Amino acid sequence: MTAPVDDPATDERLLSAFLSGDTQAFEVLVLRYRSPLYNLLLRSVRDPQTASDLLQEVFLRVIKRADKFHGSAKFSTWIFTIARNLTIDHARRMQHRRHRSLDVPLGAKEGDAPSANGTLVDRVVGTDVVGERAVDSQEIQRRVAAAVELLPTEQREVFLMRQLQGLAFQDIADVVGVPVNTVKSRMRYALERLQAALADFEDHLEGTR
Amino acid sequence: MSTCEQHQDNLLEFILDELPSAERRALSDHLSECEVCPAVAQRLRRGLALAATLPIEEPPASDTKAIMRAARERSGDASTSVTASTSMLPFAMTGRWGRVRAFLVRPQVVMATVMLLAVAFGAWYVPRRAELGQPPAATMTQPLVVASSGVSAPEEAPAGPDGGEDSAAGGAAQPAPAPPDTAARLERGLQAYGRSDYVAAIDELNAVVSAPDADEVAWTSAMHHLARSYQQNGDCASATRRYEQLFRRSPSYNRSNQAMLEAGTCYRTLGNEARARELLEVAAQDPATREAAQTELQLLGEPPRARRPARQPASRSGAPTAPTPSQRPRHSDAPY
Repeated sequence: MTAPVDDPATDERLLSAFLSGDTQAFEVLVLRYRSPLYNLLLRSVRDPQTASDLLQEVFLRVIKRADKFHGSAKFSTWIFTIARNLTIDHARRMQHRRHRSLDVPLGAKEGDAPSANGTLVDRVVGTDVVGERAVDSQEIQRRVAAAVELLPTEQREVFLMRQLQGLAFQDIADVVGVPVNTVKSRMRYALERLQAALADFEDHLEGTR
Repeated sequence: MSTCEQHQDNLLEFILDELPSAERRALSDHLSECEVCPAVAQRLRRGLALAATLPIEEPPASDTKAIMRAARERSGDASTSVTASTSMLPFAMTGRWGRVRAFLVRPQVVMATVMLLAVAFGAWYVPRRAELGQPPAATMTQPLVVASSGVSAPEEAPAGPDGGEDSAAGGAAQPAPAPPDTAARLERGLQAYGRSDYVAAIDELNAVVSAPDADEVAWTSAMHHLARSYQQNGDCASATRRYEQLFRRSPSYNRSNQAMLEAGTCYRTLGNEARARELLEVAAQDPATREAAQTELQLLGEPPRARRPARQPASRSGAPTAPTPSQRPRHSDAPY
């Protein structure tokens, strides 16, 4: 989990300082949220350039609307709501284009001949039996990332907000607009799904703990 | 709800040490006696251990620079706030392109462009209207009425495993048989569903399926989308009732296998595994729904645990039956 930048000022106070002309206060906010937001966007849209563009759009919206923020809710839930809405808008735009199939090799175009790159599904399922070769931590990370990207959207967004920013379940519920118990259930299902998808790595993980 | 189910609802918070002390003690006592819940807890712990290995990617440094540039512009001079928005990447272009962009966004250029486009559109549209012999209003509304016959999903309808299927039902060239009010309500319901406003969709579609004058095609489409709306809204009990109504009245509905897959998922969520299996086995006969249905059946077929928690459907094959991103409700991100 990404720890927030160690700064005693609350997000809301930093935003207020920014509105008073303190751009350094805003920079602290950017440093606090840029990584979790970027990773949330990246795992949602699966494209670094798009995630980068959306990240900037998130902060642009914050800048444009900052003076309307009255603090009746948390800054964190506001900024994550913006990010989430941007991913939804992006997904809608992509509906009108040809989708990249999960079965298409990574780095290839649909219709290309099969390559050794493997697909997103392959990355999760894995092609090697654990134990037949050394399993390095990068391999685990790759497969965890792929498994997260394959989570149902509802579960993935809850999982990422919790995992990347450590948002409280109630805050996530405010962002997503569902009851807090639904958020907890989605998180639980996401973890169970993750565990099931990478069951073959469990022994290795046990050994590394 | 069984004791195990009640405790399993709290297991995650128990593991995360976020459970109030009284409930924590109760769950701790239960775990020491139960033969099932400790295994569920172990799975969650393993899931959390895997989650902790999720790689964290760093955003490009240029992002932060661009963001801060916009922040400084806004903070430095209120009059430059508009410039701030246009100087942000990915739209920012510096040097020669920046000057080109600056020229293009000048008010005179923008106005001239708008006027040119308006003239061009008029030149295209007026003769076309005359050819069709239709007033503009009819031209604009006709596709909506056709869509509201229940055979064409709205433009924003989700493109999940079921996405766009209704448009293949063959009604696009048919005149709208449903009476105007019912047709309009169906249209509004489908549009609400398309934009993930399930509450509004339920309201409109309930009116359609209750309307005595709704024709069979409109009723079937409305009932299927009504069931989906309930399901997406988290109300599987209401959803399954609508699915069953759909199956009873329209057994030959051309999307019934898709509906059975969705209903099966819902029943599994509700813990009615027998009915879930029944429906999923039918859905598994159809090549279009086979893979997702088989995945669901596999989940049902796992070694039985005492009242295992319901899970959302999905498959490794990337054919999720859970909502697509665009089906997620979009909430206002206006500052508050």
